[in-house]
Amino acid sequence: MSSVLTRRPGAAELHPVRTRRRWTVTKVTLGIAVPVLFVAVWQLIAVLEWVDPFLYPPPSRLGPGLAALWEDGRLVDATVTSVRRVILGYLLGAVAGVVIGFLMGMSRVLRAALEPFSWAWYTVPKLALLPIFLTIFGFGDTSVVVLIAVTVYFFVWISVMSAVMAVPTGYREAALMLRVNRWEMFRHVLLPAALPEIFVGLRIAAGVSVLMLVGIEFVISDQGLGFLIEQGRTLLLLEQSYVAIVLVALIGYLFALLVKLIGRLFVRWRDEDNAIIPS
Amino acid sequence: MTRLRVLAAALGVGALLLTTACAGDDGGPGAAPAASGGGDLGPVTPVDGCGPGSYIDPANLNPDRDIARCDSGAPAAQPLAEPVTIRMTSASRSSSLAPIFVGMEFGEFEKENLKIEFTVLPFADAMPQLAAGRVDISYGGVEAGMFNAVDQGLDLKWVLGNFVEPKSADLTQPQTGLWARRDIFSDPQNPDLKELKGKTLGSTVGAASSIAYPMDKALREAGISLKDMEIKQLPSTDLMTALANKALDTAWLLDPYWLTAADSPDKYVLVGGQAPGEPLGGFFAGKSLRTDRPDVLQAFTRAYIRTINTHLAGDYIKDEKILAAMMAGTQQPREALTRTPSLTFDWEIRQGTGEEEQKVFIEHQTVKYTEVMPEDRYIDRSFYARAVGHTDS
Repeated sequence: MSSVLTRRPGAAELHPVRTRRRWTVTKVTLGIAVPVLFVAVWQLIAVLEWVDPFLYPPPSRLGPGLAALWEDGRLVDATVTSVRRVILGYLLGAVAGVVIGFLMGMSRVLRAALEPFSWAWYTVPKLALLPIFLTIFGFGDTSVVVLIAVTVYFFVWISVMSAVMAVPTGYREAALMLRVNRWEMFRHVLLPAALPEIFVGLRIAAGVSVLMLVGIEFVISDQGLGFLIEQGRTLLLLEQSYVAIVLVALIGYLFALLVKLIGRLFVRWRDEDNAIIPS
Repeated sequence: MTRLRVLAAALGVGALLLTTACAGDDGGPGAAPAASGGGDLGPVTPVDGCGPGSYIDPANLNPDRDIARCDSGAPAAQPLAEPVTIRMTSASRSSSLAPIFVGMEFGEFEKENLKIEFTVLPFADAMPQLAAGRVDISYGGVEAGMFNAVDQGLDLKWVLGNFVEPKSADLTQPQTGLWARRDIFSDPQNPDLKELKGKTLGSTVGAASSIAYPMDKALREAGISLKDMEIKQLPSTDLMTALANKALDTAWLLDPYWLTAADSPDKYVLVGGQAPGEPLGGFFAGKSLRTDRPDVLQAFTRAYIRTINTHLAGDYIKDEKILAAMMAGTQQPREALTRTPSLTFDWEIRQGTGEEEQKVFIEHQTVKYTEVMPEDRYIDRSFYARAVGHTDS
């Protein structure tokens, strides 16, 4: 005896535009509500003195701190310096990582030659290389930018190489049956198949580049947001540290968002979010 | 309905923020400082072995003055009724902590029924813990962070000095100080410090550390100031490298890094030393000792002073037993400790050091305030004065 399973169309099928709009509103609201709730709880905890308000200044104290940094021009200087360093370092590292990653992903010989060496370098904490870079490039921006680039390079290289190697064999064989040349194989098979994974790597690298920037600015710089955080800690001007921490978080988020949006332009065929259970 | 719920939640969170923001921030900037320390320890009485030379008028800033000393073994121990553990921090295991390490090794703290629990922690991180009572005493410098902390109401005071550099006025003697590359001067053999204007200066904490004052003082004697130089902050380990690579023109080199510069007198010249006769750091105590357990701080002070008088009054680095205690305490090899001369320990605090430091910090805006803070807000000389029986204290 056979049975028939009938599924009635849900709201998403019946009213796709309205459903999508509603989800957009919900998503934006949740995205804003969580940080707002976090700030509210932080304020409440500090004001009720469950934690020492000197050590953990409440958000209401960050406004004056922000204003003071803005008025003396240090906020703009530090932000511009940090953003410039991180973008330059990121671009250099990402371009190198994509190129080398593709070459190594496509060539067994290159992989055999470079992979062990590259993995060994990947595991070295890049901050440990700082003294060497300082000796080579001096104490200016160049050392900071190059160190960020090296860090980003390794993250991007791994994700690109892995993405290229993970392209299903069937894709390649189908293309070979159509007698594609090497360029066509790259342009029409490997690149589109690897791009989603590559952009995941690029987004992770965006966050890592900000982490590295702050780490370096802690140690050597007398400019930038990392310096403001460290200086605030040293001078016990903790509002200054907190303002800079919030700004770093904001820059990190915006940077990763920018990479995501760029990724969406290149990977239009991929669902932005396919993990939602259909309503 | 969904939108209404979201709106209601947003309004609720907003109201919470407004309510708490308006509740005020007790304990914030401008909170009143704690009362002066000393606690209820009874009247000050003369101490055997500590004569007139055991207390020097704080206003005496003469670099050639005698350094306060008692006889060996003085002041005598007055053990606490019960054993007490003191939680102490320092940014490093510096050789200037010899009175602690040697005192621990030779049982001077034990005689007072004291045990020292030593933790390495940067002074900036130690100060809030000190004020909160989670740390009892911290070793650090008279830094901008300390003044900011006191200005914001943190209860901590400078209670003991550390050391002075008697030779700091004599720049022909290689030592910790401001070193410059000779090649930056038009006449490298006769450097004119006015030419340092616009040059780079490397320092660990920049214009926020206790050495800002002696650096500024050295430059002012040449007609310029710290403001005229471009300060670069670098770890102390990288300063000499940066100087050698010509990434820096000048640098404040600490022990033992200045030894490298001193080895090449044709390349580097000492242009400024530490403030002659003035300790620029020492021990800072918070509420847990100064107010709650002044007897414990008094015992610590006695042991510290007695260790200096008994074991560290002369050229102690040549004494094998002292050297062994220092090697154990500082965790540095013999060569590192014997390359630099013995320090002249000074438990006293000069009058005006903090004021001069603040002037530099105010000029460089590394402190939040604009008027020099009076000494009684951050200095308490009563413990060391009592320990040597200075009856006028």
